[in-house]
Amino acid sequence: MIRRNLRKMQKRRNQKKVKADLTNDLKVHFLNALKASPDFSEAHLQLAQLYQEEGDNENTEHHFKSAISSDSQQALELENRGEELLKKFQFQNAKDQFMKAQEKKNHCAEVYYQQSIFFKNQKKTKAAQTSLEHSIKMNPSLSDSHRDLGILLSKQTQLDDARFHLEKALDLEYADPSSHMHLGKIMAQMKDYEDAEQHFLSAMDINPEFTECMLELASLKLKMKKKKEAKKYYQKAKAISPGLKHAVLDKAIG
Amino acid sequence: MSNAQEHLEKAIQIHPEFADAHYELALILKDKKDNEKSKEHFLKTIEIRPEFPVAHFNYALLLKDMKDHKASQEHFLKAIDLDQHFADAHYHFGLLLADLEDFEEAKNNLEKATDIDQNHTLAYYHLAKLLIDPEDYEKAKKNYLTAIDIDDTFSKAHYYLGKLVAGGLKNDKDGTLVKKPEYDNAVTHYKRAISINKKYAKAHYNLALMYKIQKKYEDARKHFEKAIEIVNDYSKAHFHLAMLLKETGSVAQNDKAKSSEDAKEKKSEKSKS
Repeated sequence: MIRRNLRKMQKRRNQKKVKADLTNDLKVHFLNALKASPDFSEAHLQLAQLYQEEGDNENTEHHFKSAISSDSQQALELENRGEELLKKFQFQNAKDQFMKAQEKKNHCAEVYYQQSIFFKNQKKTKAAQTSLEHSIKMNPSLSDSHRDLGILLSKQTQLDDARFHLEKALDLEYADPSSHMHLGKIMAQMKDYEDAEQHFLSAMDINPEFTECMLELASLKLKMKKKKEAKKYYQKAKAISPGLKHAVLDKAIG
Repeated sequence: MSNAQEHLEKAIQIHPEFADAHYELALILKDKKDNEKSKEHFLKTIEIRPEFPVAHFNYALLLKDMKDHKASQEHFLKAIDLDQHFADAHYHFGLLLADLEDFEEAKNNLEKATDIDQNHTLAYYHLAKLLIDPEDYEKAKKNYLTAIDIDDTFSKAHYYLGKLVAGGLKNDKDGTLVKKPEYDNAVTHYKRAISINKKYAKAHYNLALMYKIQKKYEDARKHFEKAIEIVNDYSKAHFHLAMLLKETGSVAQNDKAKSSEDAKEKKSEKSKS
């Protein structure tokens, strides 16, 4: 028994070491990539994420910033080049440049999005919001950014703007249960109970084990004075997560 | 000063209007990178014998080296005007136009060079490189293949053909844009490029990308590492090798952990026995 436990501990220690070795390998290669091409935004983003995992906030922030400035600069240069080629009637080459510029912008939008997650984890809400706004500006069809911005705005009770972004997120990615749930919550706050219910049901349809959404639906039913249905959804959630507790629902129907 | 140069200069001293002597001297001076003096003798050659296509052609090449693109164009055109079957004039004029980003005219001249000289490997190759429109996919492929057909050891033609078919962006028969990458075909050409030039870092890198797509991770890793071994600061190779390690990391980690575990167990068994 002792030997088995020792072996397990040793195994865990080995796995940790392998992970640390791998992280170091990755860092070496990404840093080498940057040594030759300091504007390699993809490498900056990867490094930012590695440092973020390690809790090195200073380096994380530095690499996010570098990735963004490289992408923005390169996108601008490519667009200018495209304009020049257009003036020379070189349509195919101009199109290539514009497409490359948009790829850079899309990557930049992704970096801004990742940066917003980093800021959110650090409880820097305002900075996270700004990152998401930049992300949408760079690539208006990034549904994750619209969704997260909608969620942030809903927490600041800017319901109309929040609704706009969540609806936009669903236009772009209808199968996102989180967008449905948060839009449902906004609808409920705006007393549009029917639409709220529809969005909660859609979210649960996409993710049948979405307990958080079941609790929201149960609370909504309670508001609508439909105790029996509220109880049904609360029990359903509890069946999936037996340890689940909800003070209001427990008091009313528990 | 070379013997030939001395004799040519003497010949010109005796007979200042000796066009061939001026021309040969201009060529020697051009080879020696004495551009200004070479220019003088080319101009003299053309002054004495204006209808001398090869002189115009070589003078155009000199002017191209001297970055006088406008004058260079004029003399290429003059050479072509005097000899309409001058394949090299069309070829080099095409390259100059490509440098000046007049791609349509560049393509026309390179095509003309291949029409005149059907064994002009470089003209086929450069023409293929300019055919970047998805509409011209098949044409580009055909030109690379012709270049390879003439010279199978043309590593760059293999490499760029590999890149073209790996991208596979082309217009379908009905004109719709489609992406039909031919990974196996690309692998064949990258491998051939490497077999011709073992230190072809870009070919190793692109072959590694193909192997990664085909989920042949060990081969991919080997070629990324080879590319880095050849060009130490190959940033894209470093980046993609890191991404490969990251994506396959869990497997590698388990394997490493497992093998280290196995080694430990074997060691303890040995000590027991």
